Amino acid sequence: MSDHYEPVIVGFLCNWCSYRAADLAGTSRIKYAPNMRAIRVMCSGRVDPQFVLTAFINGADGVLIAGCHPGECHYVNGNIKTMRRFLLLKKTLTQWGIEDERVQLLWASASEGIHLAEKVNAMTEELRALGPLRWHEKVLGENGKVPVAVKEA
Amino acid sequence: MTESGKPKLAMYWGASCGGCEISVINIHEHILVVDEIFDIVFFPCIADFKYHHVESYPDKHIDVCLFNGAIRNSENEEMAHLLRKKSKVLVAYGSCAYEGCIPALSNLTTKDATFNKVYFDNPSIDNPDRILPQTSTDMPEGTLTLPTFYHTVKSLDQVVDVDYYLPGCPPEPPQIWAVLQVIVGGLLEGKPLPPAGAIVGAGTTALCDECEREIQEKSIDRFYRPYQLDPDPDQCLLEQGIICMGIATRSGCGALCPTVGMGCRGCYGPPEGVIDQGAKMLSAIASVINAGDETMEDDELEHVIQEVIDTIPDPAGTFYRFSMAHSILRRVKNGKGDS
Amino acid sequence: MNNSKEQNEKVGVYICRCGSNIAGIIDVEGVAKWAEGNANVEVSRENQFMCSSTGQELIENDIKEIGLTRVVVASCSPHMHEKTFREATERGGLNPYLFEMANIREHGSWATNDKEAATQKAKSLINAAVERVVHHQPLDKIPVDINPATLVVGGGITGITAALELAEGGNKVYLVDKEPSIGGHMAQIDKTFPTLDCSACILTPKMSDVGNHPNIELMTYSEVESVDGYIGNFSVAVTKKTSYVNDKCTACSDCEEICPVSVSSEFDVGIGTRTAIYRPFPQAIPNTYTLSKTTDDSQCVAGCPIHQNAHGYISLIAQGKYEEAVGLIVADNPLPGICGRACAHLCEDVCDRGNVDEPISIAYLKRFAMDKVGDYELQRPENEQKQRVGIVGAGPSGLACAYDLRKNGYQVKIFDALPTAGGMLTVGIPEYRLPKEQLEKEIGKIKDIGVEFKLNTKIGQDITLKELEKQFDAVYVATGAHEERKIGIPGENQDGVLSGIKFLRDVRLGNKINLGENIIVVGGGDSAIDTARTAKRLGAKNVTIVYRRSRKEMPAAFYEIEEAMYEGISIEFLTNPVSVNGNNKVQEVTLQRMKLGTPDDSGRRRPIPIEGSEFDVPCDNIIITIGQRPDIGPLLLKTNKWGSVEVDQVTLQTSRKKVFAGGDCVVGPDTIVGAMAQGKTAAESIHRMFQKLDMYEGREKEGAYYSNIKVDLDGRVIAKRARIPTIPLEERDGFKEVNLGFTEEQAQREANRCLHCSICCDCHLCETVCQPNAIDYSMEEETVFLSVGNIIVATGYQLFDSRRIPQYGYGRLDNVFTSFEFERMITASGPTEGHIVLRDRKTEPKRVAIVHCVGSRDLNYNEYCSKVCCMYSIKFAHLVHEHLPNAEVYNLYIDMRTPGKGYEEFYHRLLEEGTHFIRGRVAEISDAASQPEEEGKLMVQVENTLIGKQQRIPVDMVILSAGMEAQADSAEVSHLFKMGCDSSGFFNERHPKLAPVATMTEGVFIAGACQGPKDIPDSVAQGGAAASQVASLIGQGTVMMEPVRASIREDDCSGCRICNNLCPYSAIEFIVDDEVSEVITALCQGCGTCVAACPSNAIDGAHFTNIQVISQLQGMLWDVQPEPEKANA
Repeated sequence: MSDHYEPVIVGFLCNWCSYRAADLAGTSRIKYAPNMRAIRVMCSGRVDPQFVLTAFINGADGVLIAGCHPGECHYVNGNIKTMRRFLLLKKTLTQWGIEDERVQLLWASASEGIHLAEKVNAMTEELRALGPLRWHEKVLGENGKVPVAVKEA
Repeated sequence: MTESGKPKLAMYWGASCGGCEISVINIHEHILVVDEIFDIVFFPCIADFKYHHVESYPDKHIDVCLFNGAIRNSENEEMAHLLRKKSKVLVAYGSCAYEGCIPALSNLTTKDATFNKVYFDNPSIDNPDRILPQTSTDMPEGTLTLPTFYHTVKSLDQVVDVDYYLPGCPPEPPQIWAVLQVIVGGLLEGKPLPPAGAIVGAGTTALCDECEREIQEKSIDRFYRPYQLDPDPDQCLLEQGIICMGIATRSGCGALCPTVGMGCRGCYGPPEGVIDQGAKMLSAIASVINAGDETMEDDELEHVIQEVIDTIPDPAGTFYRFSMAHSILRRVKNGKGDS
Repeated sequence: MNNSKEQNEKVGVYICRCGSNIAGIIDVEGVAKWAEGNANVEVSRENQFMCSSTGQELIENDIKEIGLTRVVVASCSPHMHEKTFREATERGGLNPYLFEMANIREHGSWATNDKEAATQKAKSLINAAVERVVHHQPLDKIPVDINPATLVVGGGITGITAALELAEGGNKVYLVDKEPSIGGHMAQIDKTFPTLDCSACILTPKMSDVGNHPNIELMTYSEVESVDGYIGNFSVAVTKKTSYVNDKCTACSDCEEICPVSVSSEFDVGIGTRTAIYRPFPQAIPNTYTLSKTTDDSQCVAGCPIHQNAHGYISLIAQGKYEEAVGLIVADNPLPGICGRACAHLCEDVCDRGNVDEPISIAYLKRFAMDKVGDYELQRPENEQKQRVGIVGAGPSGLACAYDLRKNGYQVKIFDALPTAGGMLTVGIPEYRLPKEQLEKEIGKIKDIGVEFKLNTKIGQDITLKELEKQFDAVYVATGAHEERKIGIPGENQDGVLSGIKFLRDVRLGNKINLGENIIVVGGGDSAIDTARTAKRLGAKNVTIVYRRSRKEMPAAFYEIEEAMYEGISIEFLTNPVSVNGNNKVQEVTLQRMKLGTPDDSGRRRPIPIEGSEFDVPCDNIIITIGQRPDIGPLLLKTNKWGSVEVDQVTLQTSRKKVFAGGDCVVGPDTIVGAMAQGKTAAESIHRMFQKLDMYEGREKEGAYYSNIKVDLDGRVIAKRARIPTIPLEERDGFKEVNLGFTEEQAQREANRCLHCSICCDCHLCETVCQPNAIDYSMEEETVFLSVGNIIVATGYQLFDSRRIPQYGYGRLDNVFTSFEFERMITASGPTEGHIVLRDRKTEPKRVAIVHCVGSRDLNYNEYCSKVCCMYSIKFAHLVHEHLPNAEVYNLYIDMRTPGKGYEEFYHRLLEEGTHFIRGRVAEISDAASQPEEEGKLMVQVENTLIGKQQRIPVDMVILSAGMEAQADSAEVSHLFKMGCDSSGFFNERHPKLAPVATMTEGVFIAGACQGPKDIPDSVAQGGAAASQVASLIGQGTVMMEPVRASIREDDCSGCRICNNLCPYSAIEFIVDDEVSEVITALCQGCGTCVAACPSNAIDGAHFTNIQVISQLQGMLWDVQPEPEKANA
């Protein structure tokens, strides 16, 4: 078993812009890293920092929060609150020793499939460079499991 | 040691400051009643019982064990297991046992860094030979041992099953007395006990419920540390920019700190249903930062918000002051995993 | 391998192959098999096309037969088929919300070629869906009743269409437009492409239909202030701007004919003008007039301490209405001719024209009007009052006070110590500036209206204040400041040292003065100049003014200094006397040079003596004019340390209740108007005292204030102010008046320079001619509240401002026009009656260039194509051919875009008409000729990309086909209606393909160019589309809304109020009695922002609860997560 590490990214995508962007990326057959697993929320403003931490404790290597561009939020300014939380969360996570690359914020309108795809590619590479987070195993050192997505060479 | 029919009470300390023991004494004349209705069978701080006494007890011999203090080292853990075995009802007494409290703030750093601070890099320390405590040291008289100092401070329920949690740093006397009555009522008169795992001696909602200050809509321009501002005596502290954890902290203390103009520190832990007190606090106050709107360019937006956030010097230490060990991530990264 | 250990629900999992779309990449069978491993999964199947009827029946049957309690379909995006499968679930007998979808096509098989990874991802998404759906709750849609009334915002062709459609269907419509008339841009257009039918001809009938329709309530000149509520139940506040014209208006146009104001017309986009009271265009609907008037006064009026209506009389002079002008002047001012000559005209300092070139010569215009008309009448009281007022001091302050009191009918008597009335006007200002006759005439006019004068009577000497208080019901003390200050240098008390103020007084009263040949005047104020010029006139040879600061700081009027120097008076700047030498009779004065230091309180730089720079100058007289101070004498009034009377700053009441004081004796030496203003203030106070009115209320704007009016100054033609003619030097030996006053045509031209910054000039002439009394200056802005069920926003677009492209020269090069300027020009009813002419309004162009894509398809401005410009540019070309058969027309385009019925054909027609089409973006338009034949032409520089050559095309006229832009305030508007707009400011539709006129806010629709550039047919189509969507909602009566809503668990809410102002829809309310917050379900749009913020987990976001999302999260990470562990579930 060659332990080849594939980062796992949880993506919180807002229903109106970024989730549709991901749909568009697919519809236009843009091929990008399969490492992001999307959770649809109505607005990026729904993303509770507890979700981000829960993603990490459950083995995610990174979290991508994506919403509409400021001024284009379908709920007027939900994404502004997202930005406020994101920045404070990031400052806190830095104290946790969690690298900035692991939690990222993206504005992607429904027409920006390619933009979203590129972001996922970029983030995947950044996380690959950082190596796995796998909190339980590497930080708490409990109930550790072997990294996933093992590929035959 | 008497063998009357009285229920048996034990209290033990893990990594703690001793405040919890004082809080029990602090229930005033009730302590006499406690003494009257309980046989105290283990209580290092007030009665001379030894480890072997406890070992000698049959399992479930102790009716109620109040365990305070966090799990900092192997001795704490060993005692936790022992007392669990010997107790019918094990209460995580006080914030340390419940969620790690101040000792668990060391989860924001590493074991090595902690030792370094305590034994070397510290103005009150003179340790030229850079001697560190060893778990075992051979001496002519024999081998001396010390417990293993853990890398990560844990809450009591992270090492043994806990029946009840009694939050607070320390718990408030009226609450203590109330809880003791309930448990006794259960044990002696077969009254219904709270469901296992319940948090007792506290409310379910957030502290604002008990706070007398005037609460308005919130929109915060910047944050102040307590010394930076002389707060309005009637208005909600958080609205004035003083970080008050009350919104994300379980009620039960009667809002002691806010009442005297000091923001709530959060020692009663999160309200019912909240998994991670710090994350919730963070989410709530970030949401009401009065900076940035949808007309701004991305950079400007980030800049104006960051400016306000920079007025919070130590978010982790502030939001997780008491709940670090019980938080979702429990400790910070870096430093190898041991336990 | 996956989370749940024991079965809580019976979940059916259905995996769609979608032909090969999914199955081609993902091992569908494998995944289906794997999914069965989840304890909650009862059955897991795969199918060719789940969305097909067979696929759907599969679900229905399993629910019925196997008794599934939850359904998961893994296929395409929920945006594709969530609705489909929810319905299938419902048909099967389950609540539709007990269904969850896993998107393994768009997010899976289509997004990668890596089969293994895609399969792994599919497992994650499906497991996530299963873990989530277990926690789903049954939900019911929320019914909402629809109010049949509709609000349409914007009265362009789109709004008109929508309004008519709905009204025809029998529904109430409110049509709001911020302009005085509906019609929008289409009303400004001449012909419409490609059919060339006349825009007005097809638009105006629809406009009048709107005007006459019983179901349409038209609200023009109004703006939407706020929008509350939700679909079916909006409450909208609309502000009706003040038109000052009520519904009695018959549009007879009498007011328009008499209005003296002329400003550039918005409707004719600057190439035409309009009056202050106007109708945008003859076919306007509603057909009524509007008076545009700012709330603040014009700068000149606001800046004048007595608020003389300068703007008014300037406008009237421009019209040659001199009588009316004089009427306006004397209404405020009893000393008109005097002020026309000697006023310090503070109005001119604030005149906006000064920011273009030079301020209007306001004071001299007043003089012109007065001289021109000659005789006049001051206003007389309507009815007499019994109260008597005694005024001490017949100077400007006292006289102004007397006039205003008299106008109110009070009995007024003025006392003065001097033998003549006029105070400083008489004895302070030399005759060559202010002739005696003028003074006597105007004092006479004041006598005429019944003001008594008692001269040669000094207060405290001939009569005491106590006595006055007995005789009169009120007293106004305005004794002025007649006592010269002393410098305080050695030798100051010798013969030959004179006080300037006394000197001027003696000259005016004809007292004997013996003056030498060499005169030194000390000081830098107007009186220094007056003194010097007077001395010169008395025969002094050498008159020298000595001033301690430099010319820049000199307080005297610039013009006066000029004149003095012209008359041969020398001025020693930065010089100060240190001693007067001689024995009892002046022989010489020792002067010292000064330098300027740091500024003092007055803001002027402080003069500092230069040691050792002293020098002596022989002289016969030294006249000191360093300023006067009051000489109150024994008045028994409280005075301050400067000897001025102390008064209440607002009312001018003194320490004695009945006694008021003002003018120089209170404020120290001041201007004439300054003194008059105080007189007027005192008059007002005395009136209020007599009538027992509040002494303070509403007096903020008494005296000069700053007006907040902003006028658009760019593109104004420079025109210097008129210079006042004067008598030749040789005639200046006597005291003959130096200034002659404007000639009539000087005055006319000067008056025409006025920018009319407040538009209406308050002359009230329109009132006088309006038979039906429709004009009401007291009218005020009002706000009305409308209840409507739906809203259609059709606020249209604005034209790209061509000034933003400097190299195209618009605004700089006269004959560069914008498309709308051309539209107005080509219109028969337009400012040029349909003639194509250059700015000079005469010359017809021989060569015309039409530049496409101005501000469009240009990364520097707007990236998008404005869609209509190619077509209207071709139309312009055609119209130029039509009007000027011999003209050459050049269309310079990047690409020719002519999609649309008959458009391409129209283009071909133009090719045949001989238009020169040149493919290339214009680089520059300039008037710089490189060859002689280019002289006087506009040179259009362009690369012809078809032949790959640079070309310079000489033309006479350039038309810039400017693109369409979102309205400047679209961001605020989108906020108002909670729609959101894109980065260009165009409003966001709900779905670019399937919901082009719906917005994210239920019940709010958009139509026309506010959603993106559009031509008329498209706009009309959208207007209709929006109307029919609204009609359908009205037809339904009630609508069902998605139950994805937040709700607060009262027991868990601590009332911390974090959530209260997070909701953009104000759906969260704080219940004060219960000290908890509450969500108004109908207002909530379900974004979940409050749920994430609630620090005590008291808010549930239906269908997106914490447990649902976290279970989904944990299910998704099945392959990397640790064994779930009790403490962290």
